[in-house]
Amino acid sequence: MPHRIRQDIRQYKGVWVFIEIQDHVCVLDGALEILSKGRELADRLGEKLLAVMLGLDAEQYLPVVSRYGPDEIIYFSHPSLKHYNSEIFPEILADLIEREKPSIFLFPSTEAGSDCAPRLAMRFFTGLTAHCIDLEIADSEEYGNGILSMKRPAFSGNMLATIICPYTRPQMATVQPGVFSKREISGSSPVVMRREYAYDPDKMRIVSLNPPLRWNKPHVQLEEAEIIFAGGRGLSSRVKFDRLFELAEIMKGEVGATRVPVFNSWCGKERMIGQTGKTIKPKLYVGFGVSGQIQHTASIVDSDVIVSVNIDQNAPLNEISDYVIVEDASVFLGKLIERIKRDIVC
Amino acid sequence: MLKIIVCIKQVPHTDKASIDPKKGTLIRDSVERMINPDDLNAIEMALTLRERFGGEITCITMGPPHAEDILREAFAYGVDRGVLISDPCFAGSDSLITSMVLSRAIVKLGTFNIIITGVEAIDGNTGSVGYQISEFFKLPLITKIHKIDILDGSAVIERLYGHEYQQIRVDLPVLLSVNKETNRVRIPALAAINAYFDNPIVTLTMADIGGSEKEFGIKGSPTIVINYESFLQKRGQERISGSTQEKVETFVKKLKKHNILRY
Amino acid sequence: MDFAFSKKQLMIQKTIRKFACERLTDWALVLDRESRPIPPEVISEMGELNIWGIQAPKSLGGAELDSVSYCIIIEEISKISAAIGLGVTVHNSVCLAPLLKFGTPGQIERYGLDLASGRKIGGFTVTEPNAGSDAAGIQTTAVCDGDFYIINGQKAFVTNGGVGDVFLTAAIFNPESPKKTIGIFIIDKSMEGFQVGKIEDMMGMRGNMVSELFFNKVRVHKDNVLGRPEDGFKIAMQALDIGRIGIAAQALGIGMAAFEAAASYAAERKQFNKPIGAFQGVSFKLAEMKTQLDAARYLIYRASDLKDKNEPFGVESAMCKWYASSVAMHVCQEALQIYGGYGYVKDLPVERFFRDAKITEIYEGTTEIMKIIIGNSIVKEYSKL
Repeated sequence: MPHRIRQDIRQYKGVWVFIEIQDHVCVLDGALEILSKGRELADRLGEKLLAVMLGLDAEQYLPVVSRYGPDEIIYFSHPSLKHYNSEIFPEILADLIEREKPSIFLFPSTEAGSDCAPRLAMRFFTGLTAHCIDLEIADSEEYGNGILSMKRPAFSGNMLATIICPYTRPQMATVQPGVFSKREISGSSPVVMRREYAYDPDKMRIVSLNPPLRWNKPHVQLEEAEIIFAGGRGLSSRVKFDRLFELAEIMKGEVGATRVPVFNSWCGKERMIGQTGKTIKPKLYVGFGVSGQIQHTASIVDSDVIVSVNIDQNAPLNEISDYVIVEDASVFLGKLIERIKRDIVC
Repeated sequence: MLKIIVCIKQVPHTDKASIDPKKGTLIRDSVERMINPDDLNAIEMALTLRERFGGEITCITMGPPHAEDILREAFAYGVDRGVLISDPCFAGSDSLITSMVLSRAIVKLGTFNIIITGVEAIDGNTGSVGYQISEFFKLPLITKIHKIDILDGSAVIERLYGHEYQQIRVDLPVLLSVNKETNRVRIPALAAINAYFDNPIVTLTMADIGGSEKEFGIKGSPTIVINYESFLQKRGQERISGSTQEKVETFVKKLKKHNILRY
Repeated sequence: MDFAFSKKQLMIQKTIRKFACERLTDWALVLDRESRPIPPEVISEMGELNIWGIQAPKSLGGAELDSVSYCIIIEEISKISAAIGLGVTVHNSVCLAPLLKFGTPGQIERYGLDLASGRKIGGFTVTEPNAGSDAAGIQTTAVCDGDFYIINGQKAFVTNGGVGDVFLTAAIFNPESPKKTIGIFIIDKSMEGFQVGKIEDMMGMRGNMVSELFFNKVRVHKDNVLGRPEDGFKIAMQALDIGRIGIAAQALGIGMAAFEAAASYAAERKQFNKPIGAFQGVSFKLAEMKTQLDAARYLIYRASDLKDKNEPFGVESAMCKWYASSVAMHVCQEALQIYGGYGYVKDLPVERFFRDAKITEIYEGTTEIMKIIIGNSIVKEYSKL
């Protein structure tokens, strides 16, 4: 299919990772996780790993980023880069891609990454695979060697699709924070390059009218929680779902949810576990009435112990569970709370 | 008068989607279809803007012929025009090509002031299309809208951005991306369903938006799906049996065994 | 012959189902528990969706829908709350519909707009303490006094009685004359001498304020007589023909609610290590329930379709009313049996379906009266041969 080759893809080399600065105070963990994965990919390709960072006083983050093993760091430091800006950031990165021609460019699938990556893909008319849960380098007779193979849930999360982008560059992906583990590389000393940028502020389409107000997101520590009780459709009502909080309180865990409870406003989106929510790795995960669509299960597979409580003995979650309890989720939940409370009293 | 374009998508009813256990593929024919939930919030946003500032709402969707069902539904909510962008060669388009087709169709439809999309579709969950349309037209894309006013060709918007509430002004045209946090979708009135459901739908094909077959669908998409697999990392699946109370007891024992309960 | 809903009808079904599930589910429970009327905010919300003017013309702010759509709407509302479904169907089919069919332009202007929007709730009353199935035996009188009639009497079991604003009321002219003529009067609750009596404490339909009504020298202007004065009985009977289709749809809704609950319970509930639905004792029940419900459904749609085609539908209406109500009762009883002890407790709605279903065999003409109508028409037809 020669017509599909729009660029001379051989010119494109190297694995890039967008290092997001979170709330202009620290480097996003998710970005470092992707950087660690990027190290593996770059080693497999025998190419360089490059971290790109934009921020206010970005120098302060260089030591942290360096520890995760990039060969090079390109950074921009400027007051107007304090926040992610959908006009400036893609402009700077597009210019950089144009000149340096990376083969792979990875983003965390945060608000910023989900904004920036598709814009760049549109500019370079290349493919983007969003919310990946795995990345590897693959060789193919049909499509060539050393291509990026990306895995993501498909068909409403019922299947896992492997996706490639063989004919255009860069090959782009966004990855949910929490999917990979971050690994420091000892003795890593990347080449650091500061770049300047010029962006005409008159070109800005979005004008801020008042000083912004700080908004404190309800912080739910799902990613760090050791015990998570997740509720799904099977809990059937807000009242029943609410009992999860009771259990979480006595067992010092957290409450998570699938899409249905969030959609029905039984709880806020900050509790959603899954492809467009959070990825968790607790010691114990118990799903109450969670059927187990892949969008959700893909984000819990790293839990140490998985338990499924579901009236449906064929719920897909059961297959990836260590323990399966076939029982009406809310009935079991009620009895369990009773039982554990009794233990505490004793 | 505002000219508003709303991009909507027909998606399978996820709860009812079933997988062929042998082939491991989605049984498409058996699937009930519906408007993507976020897209209803997009329609609601358009209706509210029209009520407050006047205007005309055009709903567009790309999909096979049966996607016209969701345009009819949009009519029932009160949108003025429905455009189905449909061509066999569009089948299998990835996010990028979908964005391009929608963008070119919007160009074809003439001038506009506001494009509204849902944040993401429940079947693909890529959430990229809105950004790519905004990139095509070089429009600002605004999400997490709390409040919006239209004044002299500008939108004054209060929005949540990262950890901040901002009040911003953006000159039209602009792209708004909305979901269920943005508004509450009304229920259409029976009279509106009766009066508008059978309104005529405009169909645009590849011939209308221009281009050649190789640019679209599977052929034109830069990403290729090379494999589908069912996603199973099976574990022990030890069944805990007995009466409900016995199950609770056994479960508590297991928790102690794993050192999760310690008394 | 097409047994499928049109896409528009499916959209109507989906819309009302969503509305009923989201907005009426909680009320259904409260209304039944506390025997309370539909709250005004819900009435006005239903008004915005045109639920109080389902078949009224657009000029009155109605939805101007076909009769099958009408039945879909009543079924969906009744699935969630039979009591609200009752209020809706009585208002639409035996108050607003006869008003629109027989009313003068002046009457339609004075009452049609308010009724079709739900600003006023309507009722229809023939039944009296001593005149039930024998409708011609009513004793409420209307005596002419210049341009007015003076109405005196008492009505019983008036649906929407406690909340209604406008009642189509049957009364006899000239009680002394041997030939009794019945007239239908449009009576507004604001008229002097109109009084709502006792609100009935009922077994089911507890969210509808069924009541007595008293008429104590109520002066009604001649302009408020519906149709020609001597046609009252005919108008009442035609109103009931329409009303029965709505009651049948309501019964279908109750039956469907009970069936769906029972079917999902049978799939989940396990005894002897099997879902109880896997036992033929239960699955045969489900098979019968579903088949009977479908039969009732299509009898209802046939009567609706005839009505829309302006063909006679009185007998078909009686058939669907009898059959759907008896199926509803049977299905509720079987659903309760499938639920066993759980069906008998008030934590679950099955017992409410059961209590609600019974009255559908009684009001708007009892099962026995329906069979008289059907039987008479058969005898008449065959004696012509």
